[in-house]
Amino acid sequence: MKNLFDKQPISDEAPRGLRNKVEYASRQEPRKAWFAPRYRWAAAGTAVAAAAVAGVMFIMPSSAEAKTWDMVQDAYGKVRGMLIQMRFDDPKGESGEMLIAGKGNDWRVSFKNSGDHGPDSMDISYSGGEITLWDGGDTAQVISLGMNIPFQPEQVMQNMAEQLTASKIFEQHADDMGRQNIRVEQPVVVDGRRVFNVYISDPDNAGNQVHVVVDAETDLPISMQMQGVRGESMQMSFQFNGEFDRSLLQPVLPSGVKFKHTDPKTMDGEGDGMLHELKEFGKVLKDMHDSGKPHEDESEVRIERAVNRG
Amino acid sequence: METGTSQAAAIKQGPSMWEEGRAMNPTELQRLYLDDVWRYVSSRLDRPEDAEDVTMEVMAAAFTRLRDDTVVAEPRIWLLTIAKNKVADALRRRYRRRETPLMDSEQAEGADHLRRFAVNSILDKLPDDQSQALVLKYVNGLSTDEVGSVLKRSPEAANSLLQRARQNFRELGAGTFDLTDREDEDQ
Repeated sequence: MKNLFDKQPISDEAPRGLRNKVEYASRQEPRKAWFAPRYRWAAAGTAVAAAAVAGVMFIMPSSAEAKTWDMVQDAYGKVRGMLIQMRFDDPKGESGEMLIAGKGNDWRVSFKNSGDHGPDSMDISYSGGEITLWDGGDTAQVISLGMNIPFQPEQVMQNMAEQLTASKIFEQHADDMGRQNIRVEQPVVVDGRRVFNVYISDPDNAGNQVHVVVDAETDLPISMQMQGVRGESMQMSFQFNGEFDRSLLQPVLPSGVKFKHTDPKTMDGEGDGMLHELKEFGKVLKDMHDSGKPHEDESEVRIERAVNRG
Repeated sequence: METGTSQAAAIKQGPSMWEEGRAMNPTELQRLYLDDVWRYVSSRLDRPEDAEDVTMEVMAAAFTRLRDDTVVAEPRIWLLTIAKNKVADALRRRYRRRETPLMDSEQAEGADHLRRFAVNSILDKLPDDQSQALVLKYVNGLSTDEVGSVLKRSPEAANSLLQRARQNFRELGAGTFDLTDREDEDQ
């Protein structure tokens, strides 16, 4: 019997890539899940982040990531620039901010979370053929992408805009919550722009209310506010194709953070861990968006975050 | 989260003392026990990518618990208990998706892989606790008492479980393997 099981493991030792990832995860400080408010109506916001991260992931030249890229490329809009900002607060004192900014080929996604478990931050930016990854630690990785690696932020933005159209969001909410819980008002002119207000109530969590302001011409959201029955709140603002301060595209890192330049071809260990985090992070967000509801097991999400912190 | 008696046995109150009589951090934990976890997980999951994902989940859960100040006295048993539960979850997910495990062409070429595939096919037919017991015993080399710790059984119950598992495995594998050699069974 024993002989029969001798060759049962795929190998006696864990593969090197896995070992690198686990070792990297073991050296990280705990990170609290920054996307704590997991509400169904937040799906649109997570879709944005998922698409952005999926775009970043494309720097990894492997088939698994290419699949994600296919997902991102599913739909196109006409957006060439965007700025999305989100802030959430809950009555327990936790708060978080997320920023997604893209203009031409420059990109930045950042989030920070503060609360009982201490600060938690990440900043990912892409400019001039270089991607800068900072996970809240002492070092930011700067990865120079070869010219042969197709990274097309504009296409990511186009997809995100497509996913964010009001029609799409409301269609999803109508499926999830019932049309009777969505109230769309007649368009009005505000600051010279035709907009309409949409109010959504969550029948499963009576008291949760969402207010979305939509640009009637483009069908894209302008702002979204949520008020939860437990006192939690979230505000998101959306700006498409307009001008914004380009400094928002630059990474904002605490003083003392060192930049480490890395060749992606030789990246292992720490780099593997970082890229693994991006991949897993994108998967979690995508799951949330796809399901339109909170993750089944919050502890599992936290575990994923703990592992995949880069 | 793991809350069973085996977890309770492996997690003790008081100073964080490990086998070596000192506290252990996540890096040390993975250095010493990652291969144990990998061997268990990859013995039960057919696809390498699934085995890697689940191993990562196991280690992540362990790191999280350590950082929450959980104190563990028997890290190997504790990790294998987590691994056992994570693998069971993964197998349930596979069942729900009605996936048929496939060997890729490279795998299919090796006799070892064929044997591995056949063993897993039999393990899949056994009750969960029996296949878990066999892997813990023969892949991870746990003693019968240790198998009992992971599976939340008394030493006597673990011994009975292993006997039933071996018997059932033998019957199911009769046409596939030569299982007449019983010499090592109760080691």
